[in-house]
Amino acid sequence: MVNQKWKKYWQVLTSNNIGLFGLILLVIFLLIALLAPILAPFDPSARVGDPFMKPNSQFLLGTNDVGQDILSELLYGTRISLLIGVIAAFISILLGCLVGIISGYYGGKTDAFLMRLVDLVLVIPFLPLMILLAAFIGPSFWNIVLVISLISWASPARVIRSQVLTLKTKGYVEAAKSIGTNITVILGRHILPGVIPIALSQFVLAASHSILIEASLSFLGLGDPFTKSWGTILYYAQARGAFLTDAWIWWVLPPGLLITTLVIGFAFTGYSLEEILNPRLRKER
Amino acid sequence: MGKFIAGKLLQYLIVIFLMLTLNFLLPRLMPGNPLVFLAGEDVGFMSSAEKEAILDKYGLNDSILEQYGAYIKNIFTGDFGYSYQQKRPISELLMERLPWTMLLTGLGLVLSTVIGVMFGAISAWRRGTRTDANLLTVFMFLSAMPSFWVGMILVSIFSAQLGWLPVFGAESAWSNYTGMDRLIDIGKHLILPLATLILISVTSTFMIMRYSMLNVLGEDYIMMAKAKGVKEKVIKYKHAMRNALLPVATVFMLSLGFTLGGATVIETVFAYPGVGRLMFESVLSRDYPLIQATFLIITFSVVIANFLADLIYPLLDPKVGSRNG
Amino acid sequence: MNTVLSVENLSTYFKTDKGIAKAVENVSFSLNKGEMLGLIGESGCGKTTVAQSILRLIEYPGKVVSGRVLLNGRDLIKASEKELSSMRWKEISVIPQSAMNALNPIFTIGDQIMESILLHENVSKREALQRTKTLLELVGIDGERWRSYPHEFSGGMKQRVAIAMALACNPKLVISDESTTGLDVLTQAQVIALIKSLQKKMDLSVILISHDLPMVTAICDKIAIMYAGNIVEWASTEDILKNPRHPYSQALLNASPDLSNPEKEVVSIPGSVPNLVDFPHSCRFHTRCPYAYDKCRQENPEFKEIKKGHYVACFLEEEGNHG
Repeated sequence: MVNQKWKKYWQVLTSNNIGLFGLILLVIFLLIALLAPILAPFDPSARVGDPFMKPNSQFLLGTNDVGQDILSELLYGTRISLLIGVIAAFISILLGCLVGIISGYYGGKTDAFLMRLVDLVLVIPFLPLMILLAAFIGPSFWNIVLVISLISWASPARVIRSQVLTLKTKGYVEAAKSIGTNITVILGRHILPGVIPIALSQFVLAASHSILIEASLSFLGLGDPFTKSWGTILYYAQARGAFLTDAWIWWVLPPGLLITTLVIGFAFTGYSLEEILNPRLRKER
Repeated sequence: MGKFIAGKLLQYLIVIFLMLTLNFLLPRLMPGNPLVFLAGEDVGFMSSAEKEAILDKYGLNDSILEQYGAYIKNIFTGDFGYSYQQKRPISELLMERLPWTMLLTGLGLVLSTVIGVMFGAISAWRRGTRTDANLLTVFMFLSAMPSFWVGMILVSIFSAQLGWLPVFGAESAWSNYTGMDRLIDIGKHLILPLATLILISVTSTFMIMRYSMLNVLGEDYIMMAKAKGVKEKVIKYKHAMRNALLPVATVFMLSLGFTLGGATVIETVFAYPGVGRLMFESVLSRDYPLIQATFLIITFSVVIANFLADLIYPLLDPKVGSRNG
Repeated sequence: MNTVLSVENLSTYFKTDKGIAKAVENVSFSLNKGEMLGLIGESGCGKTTVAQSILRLIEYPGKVVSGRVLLNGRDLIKASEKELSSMRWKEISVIPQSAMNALNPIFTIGDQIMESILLHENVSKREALQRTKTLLELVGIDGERWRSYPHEFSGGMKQRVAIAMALACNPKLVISDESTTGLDVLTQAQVIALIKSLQKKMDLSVILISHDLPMVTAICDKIAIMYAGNIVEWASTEDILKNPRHPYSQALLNASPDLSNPEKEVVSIPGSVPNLVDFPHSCRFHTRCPYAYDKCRQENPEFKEIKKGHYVACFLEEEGNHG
């Protein structure tokens, strides 16, 4: 039965143009990330040409300030951007689920306290806070993941909580509670199946945010210095003034377009998932 | 209403208290020499007497509680410490930069809200039409673009290629413009950063307005207004608009932080001499006290702006505004 | 006779994902000056759609596909927006389904009543306010409370405000669309009594839409019974009570009202209202009718006058073998 339900989601998702479009984009990026070593003409960290070369038959998007092939950098960059986005989103959704479920399930003072906490976190200007934390704990892949997920759990937590509240009002949860069913059983059998689809759509949306945040942090020089993401490429393009020369067309434009397309891929998938899961929304849109 | 405001005030005080504590603890808890975090990486070049002076100033030899007390006291008396790299008191640096950030984000917030509200309302009024679909697509794409990249592209096109607008800064250096000329100069420098800020922050307002307007249009009182013979324009602008704006006002508060964060990145791209650019500069030079101070000032601004919005909100919503609400 | 409203062969359809829903089909009835007509039926039978069609409030995906609605001789369906605006509230007004939502939360009730007066009559603001206060007093609310916002009133009070608003421009016809939904029994009775007394005092024509048959029979002069988008019987209250002709009317009358819970639908007839999407050309009641025979499943009976002022849509009338 569960399988059928997922099959139905899949069908609705793929029959929805926007969702299908987003999904195709994601698949393409996944392939690029996996096949980067095959697709990339050069080692992205090797100095294979002269600095600041214009695009030519050998270097399709020219070279950067130290003579690395920009196209290869971009292809390998897909891995970092995708990975950070997905991992950070996963952790923040995990945290969000934890807080949301505890808050929704127990209600009362626990709920009031946790939701106050969510309100607090939402007031904090998150990018400056991330910059502060990243500056102190130092730039590295995992630190960026940590910083992003520590701050992005709040709004998913709120969404998950309201879903748990809806589930709780359905008779069987109350019934299970009243006959003393073990809490893990109630959670596993009644709450989680209802939460997971919502969490999934929240995850996809969080991934799109994480990718943008990672790009911003990297652009500010707080990215992992050893693995170049798209944001890092733009950091160097900015630092070397590429956007003031003709090089903007091959050095500045492509990374940004890639970021935008990947974010759109996640966002479109996420919005259509949300529409599927929330028929009320579906009617109104 | 008093209760509502008091609750909000408490919430903000807690935010400020938490952020101050975080700021206090960060340099002291991080592994490594706290002196580096308190005075910057130049510490290695200092004499031991200088180091002693800094240890003394920050009371690092006192108990942690005493240090905390002194820290809080300093902050609230406007003493954000000293930038050993810029050799100037931090509060002075902040005061210099703050007006520019306020100009940029203030205008950005107002304009992006106005534009978002306008298009959101149009989209909702024409729901299901081509216009609606096109607007939705455009705004979705806008929200997917990285802010700094939008800025770089705009500079590439309008400054570097076309030469219409200045590349960076808030006004021309060495020009000594006065009066009207200076204002025009400032305005020219403001256009691109402002446009970038609006482009990246307009979508959330648009989405909320559209959704909220759709809900309001389905309300019975809209149908009643129509049954009363109220003209469509009046229904749209008088009856629907103000109700639809209520959720926008709530989101406006939440987006303050986002906009200020966005401004940090955008100021960096345009070398706009605001607090955000100051934060970036201090990150580059690992001037830790300055990073902390810029973060605090941004947080303070968000909290204060939030509180002002809370004070204004009851004027919009009679349910919150009335005594028994 | 002094006919105020005459509805002729009105049909309103809605486009849905599954097809065309014929929410109201071929509905005809009329209303005389000073008369009170009860329009009754189960929820979802199209009562509100009839009201909205008369008021020209049907919006996409709904559409009035045919028929005429003559208000004092003028066809509302064909009227231009401008004509319509001038007729609204001056000639026809509505007391909406739930006054809780029908009052705009951000304006004072005084503003909302005054708005309709200022819109339609050339009077000064001061005069409009004076009239607003009088109207509030008329429905039993202190006139000085015009400055209050809707949320400061109880449900029953809001309903009174809605009544005051409906009467603001001295309309000739008032449609009360389930105006007591969501109120407690006592308040319901008070509101209905208020409508009745105002109707008499001001010589109004009123269409009272409701699912509460006992209440409607108690105060209305005439009754129209709706089932699944059709009016199946329309007659004087006396005729409906003494000699109901349509099987559905009989079932409605036989279903004993539950006095302890008047909110509950009075109808307890086996079966359920049919799906209105692409409804076949047949009597819409045949799936639940104890007397249904072949013809009922193949054709839709005509709405015919069987005696002066008594209309029924049922084949049993023609066959003369009424059970």
